[in-house]
Amino acid sequence: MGQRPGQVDLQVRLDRRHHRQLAGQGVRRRQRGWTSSRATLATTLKGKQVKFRFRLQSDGLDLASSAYGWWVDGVSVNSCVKAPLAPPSVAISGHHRTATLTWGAADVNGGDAIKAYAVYVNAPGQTPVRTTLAATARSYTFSGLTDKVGYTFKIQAENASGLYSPYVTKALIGTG
Amino acid sequence: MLSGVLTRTDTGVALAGRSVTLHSRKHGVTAWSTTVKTATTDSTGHYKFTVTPSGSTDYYVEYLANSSTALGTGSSTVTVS
Repeated sequence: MGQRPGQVDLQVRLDRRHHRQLAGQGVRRRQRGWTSSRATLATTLKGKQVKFRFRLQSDGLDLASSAYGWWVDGVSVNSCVKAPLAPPSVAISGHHRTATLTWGAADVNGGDAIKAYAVYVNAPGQTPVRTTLAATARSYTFSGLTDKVGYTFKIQAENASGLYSPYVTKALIGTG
Repeated sequence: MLSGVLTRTDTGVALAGRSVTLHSRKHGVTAWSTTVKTATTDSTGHYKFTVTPSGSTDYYVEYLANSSTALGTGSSTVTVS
């Protein structure tokens, strides 16, 4: 759709109805019609309600504002970014006290570039340990693993909008 | 003879057909020898090595795994005089 993450396109139409209300305030007939504006919202607004307000100005002075009961028409929010899909071709290889996780590029990025991969290692009953890797990373070696313990390994992709793919999980049994 | 058994630690099931290596060093020396012996576990997960130490010698057995399903492991060190 052409928008970058967080961008919102807004359109407002000044029609005859509004024109009558603004009569005598310097708004001329040829100023009727649609106008548009593009705003970029901060990612900190994700999940929050946002209100948009238009101001009609002439020579730097407010003629009218949607904040005072004026109409805002045709507001369209066109944020298309979704979470990426999980990285493909994920594989694990167990060794003595190390394990290597490999994966392919998460090419279904949800509409925004892949920013990072997050990998996790988890022993039973313990808090998973997370490591964040660059978007160019295709493998990671977990070291310092304990003999006789089985581990679970996970990976997910993160795009530049801060959205995460589902996990891909692999497990290795402990031996003794 | 040095012998042992390789199992899954979660179920105790024996791991057959796995390659294990025997490392050695003269007792009191820090570095392990680069020369290793290799054996394969039998159908019950057992392995054995026949050794003829010259003097007091440390040994340990390692399973490197190199597997998509299992992690490796190492035995405790034993000293044969």
